[in-house]
Amino acid sequence: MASTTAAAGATISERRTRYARPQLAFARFTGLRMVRTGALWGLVFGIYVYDNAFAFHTIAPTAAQRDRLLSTMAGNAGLKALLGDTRQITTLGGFTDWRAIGITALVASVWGLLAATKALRGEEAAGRWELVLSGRTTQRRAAAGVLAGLGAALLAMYLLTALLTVAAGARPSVRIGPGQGMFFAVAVVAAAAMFAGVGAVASEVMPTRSRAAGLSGAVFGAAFMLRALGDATSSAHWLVYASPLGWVEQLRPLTAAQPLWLLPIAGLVAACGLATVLLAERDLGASLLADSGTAEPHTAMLGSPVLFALRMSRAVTATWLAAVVAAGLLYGSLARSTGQAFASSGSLRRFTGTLTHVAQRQVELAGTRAFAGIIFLILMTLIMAYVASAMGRVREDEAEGYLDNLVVRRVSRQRWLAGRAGLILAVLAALGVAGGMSFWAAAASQHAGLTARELLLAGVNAAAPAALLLGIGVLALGFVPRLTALVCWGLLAWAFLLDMLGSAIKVNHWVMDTSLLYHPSLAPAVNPDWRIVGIYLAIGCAAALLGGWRFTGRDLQGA
Amino acid sequence: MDTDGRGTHVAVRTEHLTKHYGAVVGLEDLSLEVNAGEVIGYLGPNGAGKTTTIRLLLGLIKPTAGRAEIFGMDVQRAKMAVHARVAYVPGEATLWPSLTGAQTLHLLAAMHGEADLAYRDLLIKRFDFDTSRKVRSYSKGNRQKINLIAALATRADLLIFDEPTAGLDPLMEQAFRESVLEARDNGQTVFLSSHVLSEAEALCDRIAIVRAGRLAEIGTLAQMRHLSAVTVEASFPAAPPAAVDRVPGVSAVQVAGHHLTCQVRGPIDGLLTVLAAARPETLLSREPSLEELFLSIYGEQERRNDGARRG
Repeated sequence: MASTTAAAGATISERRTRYARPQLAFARFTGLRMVRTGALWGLVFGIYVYDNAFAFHTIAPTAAQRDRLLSTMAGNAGLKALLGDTRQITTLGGFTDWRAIGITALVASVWGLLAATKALRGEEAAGRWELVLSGRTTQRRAAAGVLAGLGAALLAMYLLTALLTVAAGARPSVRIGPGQGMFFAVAVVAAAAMFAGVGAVASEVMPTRSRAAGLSGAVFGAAFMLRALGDATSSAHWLVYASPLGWVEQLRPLTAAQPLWLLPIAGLVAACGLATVLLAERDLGASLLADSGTAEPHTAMLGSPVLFALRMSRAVTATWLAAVVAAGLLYGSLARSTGQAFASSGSLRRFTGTLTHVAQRQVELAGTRAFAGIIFLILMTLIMAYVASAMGRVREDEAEGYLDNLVVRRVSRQRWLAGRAGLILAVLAALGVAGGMSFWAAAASQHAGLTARELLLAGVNAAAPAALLLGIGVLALGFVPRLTALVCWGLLAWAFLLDMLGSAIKVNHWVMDTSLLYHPSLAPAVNPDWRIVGIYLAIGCAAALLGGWRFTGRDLQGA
Repeated sequence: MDTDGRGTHVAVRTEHLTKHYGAVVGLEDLSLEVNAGEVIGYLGPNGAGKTTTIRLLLGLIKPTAGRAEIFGMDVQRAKMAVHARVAYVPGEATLWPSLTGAQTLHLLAAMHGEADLAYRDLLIKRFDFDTSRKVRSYSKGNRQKINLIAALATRADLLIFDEPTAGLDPLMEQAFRESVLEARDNGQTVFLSSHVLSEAEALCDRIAIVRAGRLAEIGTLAQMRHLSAVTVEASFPAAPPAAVDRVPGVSAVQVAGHHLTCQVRGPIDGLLTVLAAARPETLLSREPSLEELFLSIYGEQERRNDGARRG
């Protein structure tokens, strides 16, 4: 009662609740949101590193055979281009450096650039920065707050990766020192930090989130190509030093640690951070490369929902196609030399099995086709990633209200969804064909002995899991619309994780059966299993029809 | 075209239309008829169920119970046929940022299937709209203009507006009113959900008021005024008579110095007798504005609810 009286007698100023350090509120908020995803990825990376430590011992039945196998592998250009330098690959540390950093650095980089562009340009474009900047902050301070939030997420990622790496290292069969384990986690997180920085600068340069992601994605693609070409060709090895991914590779935390390479990494991160904060002092909504506020009234592809969807997604589609074609050309050009190495060593064939569980269970892997099989497995994963991303955009159209504009007119929900799903199906098929044909074109120039037909069919085979994922995505859109993106990305991550884990440790086959990557053939290493492709397509169609039926009958749901 | 028992064309009919979102009542037992060629105002505070009603009419969500028809067609079963005769303006314009105004208008017309292009050009001039800019560079009001122009240019039989003038300046609000009256003169039906009571007062033939998901009142403004209290204002040379409070039908008595304001429902002679005895210097009675009616209806509901809670 006394407090009520006191409150009643207090001035308005005295009645206000005061929050500690309001200038840091935005950084705290952003950090809390990002730490969760950073920690999740740290967990995934940690599990993957743990898996690698066991994978080393399963490569060959005996240590002598393993040594022979890995010695043969050390000079294989294709595998170098795929995952990085194979130096000291015959040791557990060198093998883990090569295989684990090769994969996790790529995934962490993509996470970094997407997280940064979403938190900076994405939030600004959505209009939420207007509210933020009307509070006790400035644009520079807000940008710095987001960078601090990203830093917190990276710290969470580092702690979990380091914890699991050190735990794996403590096992008698592994024996990686705690210091090495912690430095290894630095290498993984360094890639995420650099591309988060690139994404942050791109957010200041580009006027929309998709363009910012596109620009930073292009930088990432260039970095990957430089690293791959540098590792694959001894005469141009210097290219590795021009690539941020090459700097990460040079850290070699578990073999001959070279912490000096942290300098360019830290320099890039600091430069990006500084550039972001400096560039942030601009008009809200503006960007370094200004978007033209006007455009010629071209009305092509605005006459039907399908054409309109194609128009709106053409840049993204072209980027995916270009990425797949570039990867196909790069790895196709290495097919012959890698294939010869595969053919010359019986134990080397078995090596492919250490890369993935799918490869491990396929029989008769040999020569160029074995290498191509691994590349087409990666193509399968890429096409699935395209589908997950595309289904996320389909759901976004409903959540953000764009769909309302169409279905209150003479566009039925069936027509709209059939058009969107059909478009995704066409693009995923095109990605499979483009991947197969670009690989063939490059391999043919090296006389690698692969025919256009078998690579075309391998490309079609590689698209099958994505077609099934599309069906499941439509099913999710119908029944649990708010979980559509989570279901699609979750299934992709699950399949990837099982494939990686399954190559090192024994996983129950019922569990493995749940992976979309587990059943299809590793074409062109072996002939495509059209029965599996047919089953995938049939299940995908059934799921899509069921999801479509539900979608047309349910309430439209916002975010 | 559907007709009711009296031979009147019916544009919109709902029967016990109900929508629940889990335990939350979005709309409860709405039975309503809107005649063709009529402009009906659909009023209510935030969360009253206005947008839910409109989304049900458009078939964007399914009713928990009841049904709705537009021009005699069930909105759930004949969505395409219904949409061919309807144009809709949402309260919040979610448009594609990378398209220009002209491209968006073209797209929306193509999706509707019909547009009066000459009239669209006229509307572009009337709303003083620059179609060459990209949507991302438009202000909120300009984005709303795209929706308004796109909807009006279809010349659809039924125009459904959900808070259509949010973000428009007074000049553009005037342009909107002109367009609605034009539509009514053409025989189009207008379903206008609005917070702007003066807009509804100026444009609507009938008013429906919803509260907490239920239809609280419906009728012409004149009918509502007849049912509602009349406001009486008087000033006196001395203190106003205290007996006013005890006159049957009198409520909301407010005294400020020598000035008295009150409301009276039903016969006014008792109040006049009391006021006359105090020799008023000025006496003014007027019918309630829509705003007063709106507040009165809500105040009445609150009192009923309070009474029910105490009971």
